[in-house]
Amino acid sequence: MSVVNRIREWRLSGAQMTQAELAEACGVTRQTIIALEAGKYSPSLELAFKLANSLGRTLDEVFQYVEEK
Amino acid sequence: MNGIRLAWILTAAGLLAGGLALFGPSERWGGVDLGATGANAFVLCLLAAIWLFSRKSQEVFPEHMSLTERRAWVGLVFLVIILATFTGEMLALSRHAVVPESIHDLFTQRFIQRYVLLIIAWAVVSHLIGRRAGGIEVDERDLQLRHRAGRAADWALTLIVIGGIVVLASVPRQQMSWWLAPIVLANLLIGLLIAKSLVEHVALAIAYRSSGRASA
Repeated sequence: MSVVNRIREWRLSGAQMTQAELAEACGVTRQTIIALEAGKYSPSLELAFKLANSLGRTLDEVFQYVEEK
Repeated sequence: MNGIRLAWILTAAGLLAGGLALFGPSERWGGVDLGATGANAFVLCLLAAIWLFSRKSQEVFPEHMSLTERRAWVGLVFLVIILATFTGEMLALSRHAVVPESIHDLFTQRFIQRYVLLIIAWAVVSHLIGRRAGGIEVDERDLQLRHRAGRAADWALTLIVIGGIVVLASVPRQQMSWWLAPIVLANLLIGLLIAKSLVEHVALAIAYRSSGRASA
């Protein structure tokens, strides 16, 4: 996976939201938040912006691109 | 009794009853027609499943499953039953000394009624799961997984068609006469649709299993 995220970290420490609340704010299922936090799913650009906005962070605070060698 | 245990009992009873109805002995056993008894028991199991999903659908599936994943598993169970029905009817057709000539006969046969019954039950159960779940039904991850499963099904369909072409090209016409009867061909096309849909649901179930099993 070349895109890593800090959703769980920002959700718990910053926004203090549950997975269900974040999912509802972004218009996705809770299962998608679970998959994102586990690094098993890379979101679309639109969802990435929604996640960052909901967490009150910028996009690059939430997502980082790691080049695979 | 909780919903998940009841669902497993119903699945086992339904498979047993369906097996008896499709593959049971043709003669009576101890004065009991096992085929007819199995068919009736199977219909009862279907009705019980509809009741279960109308009352306890939230208890049947683990909480971490999305609505689309739940529907994928239900679809998989129904497709396995439909495939078993198809196999049983093809075996029954192969035992006929004379294959019915008219396609019209196909629609009067009981197996078409069975397909219709199963498809209606599948649609009702899928609807009931959605009604009870609430919230967002499908999001971009579900669509991506569905797309992947659809591609796997397209590959399976392509391979089956290529296999069919190879068989048609290599087997002498005399040996193919039974397979080329209109009613048998119609059945084979139904089988092709079942196989494609089954591969799609298996691929979808696998994709969901391998994606997102972390704790909350």
